[in-house]
Amino acid sequence: MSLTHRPLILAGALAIFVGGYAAAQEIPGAPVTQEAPAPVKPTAPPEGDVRYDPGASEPETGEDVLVTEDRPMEKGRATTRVRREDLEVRQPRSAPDALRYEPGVYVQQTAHAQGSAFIRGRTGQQTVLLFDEVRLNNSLFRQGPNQYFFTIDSRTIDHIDVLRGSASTRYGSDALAGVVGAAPLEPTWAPGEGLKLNARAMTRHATADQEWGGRVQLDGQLAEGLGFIAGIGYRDVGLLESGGPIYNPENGKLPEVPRFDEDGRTQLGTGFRELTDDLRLVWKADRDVELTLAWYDYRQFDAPRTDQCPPAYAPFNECLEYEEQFRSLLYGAIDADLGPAAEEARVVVSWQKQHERRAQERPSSFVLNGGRDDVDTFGVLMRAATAPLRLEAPVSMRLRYGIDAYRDTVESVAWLTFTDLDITRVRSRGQYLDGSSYAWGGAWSEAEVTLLNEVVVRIGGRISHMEAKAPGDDPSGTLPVDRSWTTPVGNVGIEWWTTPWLTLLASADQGFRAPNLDDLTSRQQTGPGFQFENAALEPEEALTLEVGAQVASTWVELDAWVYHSTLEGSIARAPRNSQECPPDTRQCGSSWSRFQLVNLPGEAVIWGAEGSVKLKLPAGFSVRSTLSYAWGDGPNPQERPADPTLAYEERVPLSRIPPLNGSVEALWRGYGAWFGAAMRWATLQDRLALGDISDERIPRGGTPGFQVYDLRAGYRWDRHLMGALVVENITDEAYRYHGSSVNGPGRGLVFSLEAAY
Amino acid sequence: MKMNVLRSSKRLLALLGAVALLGLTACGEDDPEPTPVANNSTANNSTANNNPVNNNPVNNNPVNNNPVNNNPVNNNPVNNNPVIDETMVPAECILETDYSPGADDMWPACITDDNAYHNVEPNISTSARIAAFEEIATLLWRNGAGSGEDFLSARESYAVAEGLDSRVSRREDEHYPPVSDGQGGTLSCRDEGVPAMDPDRCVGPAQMIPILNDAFQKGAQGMDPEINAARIEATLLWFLLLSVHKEAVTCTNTKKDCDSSYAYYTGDQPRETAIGLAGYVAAASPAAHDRIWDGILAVRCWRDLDGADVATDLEQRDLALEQLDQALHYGVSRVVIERVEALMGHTGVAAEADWAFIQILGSALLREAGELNAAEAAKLEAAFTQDTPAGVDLDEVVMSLYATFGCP
Repeated sequence: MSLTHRPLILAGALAIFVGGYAAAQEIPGAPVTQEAPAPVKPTAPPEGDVRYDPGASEPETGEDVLVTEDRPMEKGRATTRVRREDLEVRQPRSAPDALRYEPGVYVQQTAHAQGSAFIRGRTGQQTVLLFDEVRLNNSLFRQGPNQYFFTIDSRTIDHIDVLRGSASTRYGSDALAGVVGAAPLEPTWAPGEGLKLNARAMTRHATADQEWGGRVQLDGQLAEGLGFIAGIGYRDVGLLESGGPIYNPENGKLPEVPRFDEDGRTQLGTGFRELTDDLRLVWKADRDVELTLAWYDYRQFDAPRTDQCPPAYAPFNECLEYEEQFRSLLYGAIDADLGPAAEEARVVVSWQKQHERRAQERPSSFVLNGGRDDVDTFGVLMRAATAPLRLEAPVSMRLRYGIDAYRDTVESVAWLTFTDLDITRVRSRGQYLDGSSYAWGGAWSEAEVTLLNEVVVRIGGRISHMEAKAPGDDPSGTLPVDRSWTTPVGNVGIEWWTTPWLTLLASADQGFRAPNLDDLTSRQQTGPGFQFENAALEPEEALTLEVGAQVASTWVELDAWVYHSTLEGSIARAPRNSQECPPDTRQCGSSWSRFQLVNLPGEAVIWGAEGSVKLKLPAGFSVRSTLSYAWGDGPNPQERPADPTLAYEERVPLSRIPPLNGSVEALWRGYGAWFGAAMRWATLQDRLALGDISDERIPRGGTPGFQVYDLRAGYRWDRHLMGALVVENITDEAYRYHGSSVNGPGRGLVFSLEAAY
Repeated sequence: MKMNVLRSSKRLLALLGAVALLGLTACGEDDPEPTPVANNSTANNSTANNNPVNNNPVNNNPVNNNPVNNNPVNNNPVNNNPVIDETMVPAECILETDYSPGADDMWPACITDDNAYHNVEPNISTSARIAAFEEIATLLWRNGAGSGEDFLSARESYAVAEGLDSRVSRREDEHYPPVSDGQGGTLSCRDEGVPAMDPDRCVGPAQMIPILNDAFQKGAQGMDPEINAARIEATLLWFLLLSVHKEAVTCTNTKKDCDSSYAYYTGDQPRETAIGLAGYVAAASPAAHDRIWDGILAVRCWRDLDGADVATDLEQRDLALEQLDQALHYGVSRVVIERVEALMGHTGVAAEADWAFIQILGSALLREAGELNAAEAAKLEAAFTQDTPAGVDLDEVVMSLYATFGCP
């Protein structure tokens, strides 16, 4: 633990102590203290859970159709929310795709069927993904981008919150750079009525990838207080036609990834099929207790990894395909108001299974390398908040607290099949070690003190404990793992409502990430090269310092942040030579590049600025613009060469830091209709890490900049009918998000129709 | 009201349970089971081994855009003398333009003058592929005939990700021009249908892969293990021969390909203990091995002197490539001669295996032979297309090889 982080930990410990004392003073039955006065105004964006009811009223600006419920993500931080109405207008292809217009977020795609949100320059295992507060992160989340947020069916989402910056106090391990939380659709309630059902059918078509899909949904209430929502979705997505190839800035040549069909536009290694089903049962047992039982099942089939289908320089018919990418989530939740000591209490017990089955086929040689990795995660979380406690006027305090625990068990197997002989040889180990387990949990508390009715100070802390166990595997020279870590973190923040329209904010938040099973045990071919494990890794620890300003007036909403994030002991890929490869891992030696994960000495730094501004103009017009910039460097993972004449830099760019980028959206709404235009842009990113240079997803010399324009229109007739149309990429721009294997869709139409009864 | 709620809840829970079962089906029941493979005897349930070269398309277009062809030739000083000292390079074989490490020659001082190869990059992934070649050799031909299980193990080494198979299947012979699209552009041998359009250029997918697939498949089934091992051995040596040259050529644009060229020959081992193709050549002709080594250093020297990302001194490059390529073909011709001489003392399966080896690796020399001595090349081609060695004058084959490849 670094000295620089100690003050925050002490602050966190103090918060837990003081908070615990405060909670003890407010046990049920004790005299209820008077509630603190409401804040002058809420910080933007709204903290409450926003539920979209499409038929609630005639939309004018869009705000009217929002129903608010208090289920906050985190106050006083850099957050944004993508609402259901935004999804209707933007018509994203997936849950990650829905985040493309959020400041500080940059969505990378290794495959057409995958998407990973970079938040302030970090992604994958360095961010936390939630679905209805249940962690999607498990111990197999790998370095760099991953596909798991794609396994949330965007048609089941009510809204998505993005929290930028370290947030481990509340969200535990992995929350180094941010949190993405999806909230599901809720049943439609009909107070005072009995059985009431709503049937809904949706269909969607996109021309660029010949997507056809839809969802049928039934929701409503079976009896007063007992509601449900159930649905089944399917879509079949074809090869994605881009606006054409992009070229290497370095030499003007065509990058090896992706490979194009004869038309020079259609990208091989794209397309997939998807089947989803879900059922959510909600019982409002009484005024203060709500029980939820929910099931969300996502099944993706035959999704090629674009940069490996075919791999760079390989024959056209070689392909790595995710034959099955499944995620099943079952959970039960109790939301209750248990009195002043535990308002907004929530307990969730969950089981989640993530299943992957891969096949890398070389038909010309009759070789198929297969693998299957399953992880079962059992989890429990509890959180609550005390009622506001008035201390000495004008000071009041509220305490939030919680505990959470998750445990993963892993199955992993790999095999080689000679398809001409129908002979299979099972490897001694899979990508991971079969029988591994990983457990993590912690307790946290945050105190929120309101002073003079205009300043809010927040201070919090968490203590976490993680354990990793994995058996050894002698044939492959894999050592057993039996590690544990206990990590304290803390945070402190201040929010000053300077005027009715201006709020200034500052915070210091720690994040940490304990090495997971992917770091400690995996062997796999990654984009930059072959990566093998390091069982001796230690946690990486982040500290985010940020200041922000929020303006909320009748006409303008502005949200601007500047941040500085350091990461100590960052886990990064260090180049290795073939002699350092583990035994019985031939693909390590023969790979163009080899890496082992190491804790780098010194600090990796990302600093940047981001923000959004929304102008709410008369007559239903609005314009929103975002801007994001990040700059990152860190210690050179390559050892200094023995030859002093060779060039060597102590610090090098961090991998896949997004370029300067932004967006503009203009929209008119009225009489149930909308019409608008949008533009996304990014500049050239040519600051490349060592791993980026050997990564075929990144063109030689960096990823060129782009400007992409969309037109949007739609109409909603109450709850009965909705039609939306997007003309995407109207200039047919050839473009690629930095680090992606896939170029963006070329000019095309996205059409969505929804009918309900 | 409460009863209604409970009834409804039960129905929904039952439905939920049914749907939950769906989630439980994402299990491993459909994982493949390891296939039990009998440790097949090497019984020779023969499969008439008719022409292991698999209808090798004739080398009909050895184009002259190859820098090798502007050679100040000295292609036949030995004059059919079958008694040659393979430990020495005849003085008349050494050209003024040849590079010799540390010698007082026309080459400027460069990084390889210390007679050592200096890597462009610290790691050479090619060395893992040569290690795989050595594993295959141990399994299939260095310790007697391999069993069916040995062939499977060898194929596993061959088929590893980014291993030999991945490179054989994309190997192009840089002695031939890129495949033309007929409109002034070129096509890639990696694309569908292109290998069949030009099997000489797309030699890996069009010619080598079919031989290797067939030999591995039959060997795993216990069919003709000696013969199929010889086919694999010869085809992989052919691949290594072309790869040394190919990587030296593409080092023009990608500097680290010089490392691959060096490693495809030596296995990234020192000159004295080199493995892979170098091991074969060094055993058959130490002089050829020395000359190939000098050729590899010549390529590295050129790329040291021409340090731009994309090389510009193509004249110097062509001299180095010529030196290397001539020595390579000479060295491989000595490996073939050695096998022909072995065949003369063998009968039965051993002789068939020798002939399978000679047909494949001998045919790999025909393009170069045609450039050096068309008449002798025609004789060699006529011999190598014979199904069996029975009707072949093996002495004449040796004489033709000596006559054609006179100088390393």
